[in-house]
Amino acid sequence: MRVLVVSHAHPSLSLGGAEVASYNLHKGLQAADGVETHYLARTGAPTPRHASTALMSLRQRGGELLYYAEDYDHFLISNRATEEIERDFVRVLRDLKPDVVHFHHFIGLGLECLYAARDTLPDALIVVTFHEYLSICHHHGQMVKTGAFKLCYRASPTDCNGCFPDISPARFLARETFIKGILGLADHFISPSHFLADRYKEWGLAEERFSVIENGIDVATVAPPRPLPDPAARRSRFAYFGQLTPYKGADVLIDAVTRIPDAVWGEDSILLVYGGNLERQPQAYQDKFAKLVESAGRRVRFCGAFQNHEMPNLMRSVDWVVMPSVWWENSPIVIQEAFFHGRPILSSNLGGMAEKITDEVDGLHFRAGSPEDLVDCMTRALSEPDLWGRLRNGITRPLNHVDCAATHLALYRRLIAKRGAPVPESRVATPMIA
Amino acid sequence: MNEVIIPERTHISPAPTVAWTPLGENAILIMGACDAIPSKVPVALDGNPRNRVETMALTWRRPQAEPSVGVGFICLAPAPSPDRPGAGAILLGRPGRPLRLILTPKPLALPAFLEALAEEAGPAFPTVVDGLLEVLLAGKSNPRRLRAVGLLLQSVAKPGGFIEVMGPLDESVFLQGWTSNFAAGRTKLLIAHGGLSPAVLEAGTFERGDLGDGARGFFGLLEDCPVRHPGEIERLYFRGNDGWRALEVYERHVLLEASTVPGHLRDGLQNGVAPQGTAEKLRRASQRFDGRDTVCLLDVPVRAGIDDATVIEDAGVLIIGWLFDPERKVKAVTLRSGAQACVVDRLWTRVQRPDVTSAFMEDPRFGPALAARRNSHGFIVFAPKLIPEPGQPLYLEFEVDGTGPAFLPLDPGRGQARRTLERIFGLLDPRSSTASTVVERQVAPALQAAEIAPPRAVENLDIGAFDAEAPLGVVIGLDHRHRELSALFALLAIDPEIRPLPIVIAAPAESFDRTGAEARRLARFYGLSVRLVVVEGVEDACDALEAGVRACRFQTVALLSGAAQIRMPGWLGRLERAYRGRGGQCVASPTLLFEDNSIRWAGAWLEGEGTARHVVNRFVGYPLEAIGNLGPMEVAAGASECCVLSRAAFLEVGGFARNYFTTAEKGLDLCLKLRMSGAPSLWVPEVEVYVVDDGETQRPHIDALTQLADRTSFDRRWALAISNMRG
Repeated sequence: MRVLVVSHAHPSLSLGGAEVASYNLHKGLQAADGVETHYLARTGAPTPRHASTALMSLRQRGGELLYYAEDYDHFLISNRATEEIERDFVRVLRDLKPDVVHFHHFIGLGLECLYAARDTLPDALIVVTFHEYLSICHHHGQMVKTGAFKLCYRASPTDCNGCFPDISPARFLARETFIKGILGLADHFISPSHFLADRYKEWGLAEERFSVIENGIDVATVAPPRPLPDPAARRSRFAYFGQLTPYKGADVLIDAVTRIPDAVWGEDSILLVYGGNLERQPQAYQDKFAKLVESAGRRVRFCGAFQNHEMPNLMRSVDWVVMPSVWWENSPIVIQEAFFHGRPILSSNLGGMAEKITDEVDGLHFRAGSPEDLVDCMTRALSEPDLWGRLRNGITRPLNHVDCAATHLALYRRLIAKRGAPVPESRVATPMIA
Repeated sequence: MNEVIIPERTHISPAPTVAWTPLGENAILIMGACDAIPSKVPVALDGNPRNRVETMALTWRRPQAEPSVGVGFICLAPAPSPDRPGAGAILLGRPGRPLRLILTPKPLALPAFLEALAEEAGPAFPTVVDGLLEVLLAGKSNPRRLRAVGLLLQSVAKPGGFIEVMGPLDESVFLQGWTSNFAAGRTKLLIAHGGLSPAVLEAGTFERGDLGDGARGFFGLLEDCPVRHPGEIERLYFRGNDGWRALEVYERHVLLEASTVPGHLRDGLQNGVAPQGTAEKLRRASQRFDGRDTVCLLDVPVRAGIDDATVIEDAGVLIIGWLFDPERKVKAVTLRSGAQACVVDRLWTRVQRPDVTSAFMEDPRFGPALAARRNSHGFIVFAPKLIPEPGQPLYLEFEVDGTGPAFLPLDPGRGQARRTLERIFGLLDPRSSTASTVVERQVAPALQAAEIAPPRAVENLDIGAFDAEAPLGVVIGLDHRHRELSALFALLAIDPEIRPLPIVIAAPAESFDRTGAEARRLARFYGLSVRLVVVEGVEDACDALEAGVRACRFQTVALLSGAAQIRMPGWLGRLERAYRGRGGQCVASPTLLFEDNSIRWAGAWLEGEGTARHVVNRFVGYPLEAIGNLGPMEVAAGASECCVLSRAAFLEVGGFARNYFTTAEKGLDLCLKLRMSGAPSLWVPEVEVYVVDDGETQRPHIDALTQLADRTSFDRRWALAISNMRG
């Protein structure tokens, strides 16, 4: 079976959860017998492109392609460079003749790529993995209302016009019918969480075309628990991993830290913040964040951005991972990483987080956006001697990338069989161009 | 005068020979001498006593001559018979002794004759000529006689002043200049203009500091003047107290435009004097339109202003303005241009204009008159069928009680009917009854009267293997609003029933630069066969659809307005099957939905009876579920936003009417025309298509008025037919 994994970015250039997940699938498939896999990832400015082709290699591994796409309509998730899709993307499809084209997101690439895949390869299996709610929500796919950061439970042209008064309901309807129309060309959808799958089903995608498969992680060694200086010492080191965007709720976390009484916080406690991109956020958020940081004083230590491969090392000095996102999330890779290393998580009781972290089993829930509630959780973490151990023991080891790929393969085979087409024969690895 | 008997033939001899010159076909002027002759004397051709006339003999003394020829004379006489040239003799019926005169064999040319006369008459020449002129002018004029008069005047008339300014005014000619020799009032005169014509000058006079010797400026009108162009006037002759005078046209004279003449008359009347009769005539003439606003000069509290005047092509003139007339002095208001006129105050709708009230409140000349505090100074009027001709000014004439007419010039723009009339909506308060009246009495009739040019396809661009003769094709009409073409093309392409079909996309020429390039790109990418039609004159999607239908030859067309959005694949196949199910003799339309899945249109239905019978959109606003699982059914009218119909039937009924503002009434109108011609409308509930108003261009209060206008227009056109419709 030949699989082409299409991703909106390459993890070596853009380290987001979806990029990592798509690449892990590619790697996992590579490890499977009888599967030939290729990886095509979108790239764009500021990477300089070739004038005569959208394809590039950027010195990645064999079997990996970069596809330059920049003439992009964010509203429609549409790629206006359709001539390049015909010339280069379709050429790749024709040359590779994959049995399965698996889109691990299409942001930046445009839904036209999905159309082109269906048009070029009418018999290929097309699978789409969703990573957030971009198809449903123009607000960065977050399903959070613009302005006041209120959670959005259901999108409609009228509701979306409420968030974007300059965009008419008619245009939102066009967006919806366009996206649904093209998604309808896919054979199957995969969601890493039930929560996200349910949102898409409610939006109108067919329930029978959905599977929930968690993203697989590829981590070699487990970070041991942080050695305590003495047996009586507390598990008092909290960590935040993630970008410093308003959606991720780092401000809620720092606010909570400033509110915990000194008697509880003590001298041993600390919050380590691993994340960057604060400078790209709206000025008001930056100002608010700066004030909170000033109030928190020595309780918070900013460690800057991190690379995914650093996680095991970083985890060594961490007891608790805090996930204070104020949007729904899907299946944040941080959860899997934390669980892989046996770190219980304090998380917002929302969406994908609430699904992946079980309250009182492998973590604690607090009301999303509520620093007071988070204070209570952190106070328990600092005060209840056995809590850390109990929750750590409740953690289930997350799916690795090889098992994840195997689950995908099983799905591919089932879907192909269901269509009545013969399951493609196993083939040994072949040169890139078949 | 004594009775004179002229014998049939005399034999008195020898008879003296006299010089003569012909004056026209029937008369000659003779010059001779005798001992005595009365001033009035019968004269006849010798041998033809029946051709006798009475003539005036002008005489002078010849002191050096024999007594028998001591008196020189000239007089008119009948012309001799042309078949006997030179043999003629004239008999003058002097009392008691007729005088026989032999005509010279050849007549003298007039100038030579006058030269001889001048020599013969000597110092008496001017007096003789003066009398001769009287004689010539008294008789029936003919060109030769007038030419003689002209020559005579040239030789005798003394300078009488100058004409410095001239200008035409209808049948008259305005003159201004100076003279010492006639007084204000009515003066008879002769106009030299190549020929010579009599005319009357009604003139006033005024003081001028630059003249001496009792000379005065004059201004006035030449009445009954045969000269149409003042430039043709060479000079004027008039008879002063001391004989004939010539008013020469000043070499550097000014020729006025007709429109400015009344102004010059008004200036003259203001500064000069004239007898009452003349002054009255000149005043009336001065009250004609001269291009200036004379309303603002009125002493009475009447003022007017124009906010907008637009000539609607082939329809009439739309005027939006105000008339401040608190004392109701204005008796009539007429719109004029050349010979065309329309009494607009019988047609207009008055509207509230508190701004006019407050503007005049501060003016002490008008404040007291405002006690009534009325605000309805505004007016909106459509003057039908009045189209100013090129070069003809357009103006309003106000008949003001006690002061005669006053004028307000209009500087109209030109506009297309719909856009011009839509501008009115922005000026109205939709909640006011005035708004309704304006819409019903001005806007709707104007739009119905307008001959709106049909949209015109100016260019076709084919992409892919477009088959214009295909049995079935899609026609998409875009208006000026932004459409997500990416979405449209994708939804066409993912529908296997549509992808192989030829698709016409008609778009306004104005936005084609943008849409054309995008449509071409998308058509290529999605592998669609598309004909892009560039259309001029598109005001809405119906115009584009119309041009699109005419740009192909499909047997069956699926119309899809740019406002429509495809909801699901398979829509066209199902509509077409329903259409075929009726033998292709219908208009098949789907359920139309708003973006929230509520019903926008689910068949147009007839309700009520008789005159109360009307077409209703029964399910509008209900959730989609409200219509349940219904099968295709006949309805009063279909929806042109999305429908399948016969192209030939569309063309046979003339396509869309253009005299509506909104596409809703246009579509209804089309479907009713098709129904009347045997293609009823079929609603196919199972097919759903979105048609969404573009919120970015919504103007609620204007929309309410356009709908009212269209309802009014629609009812005028269809009420009777609908009251008799079955179903």
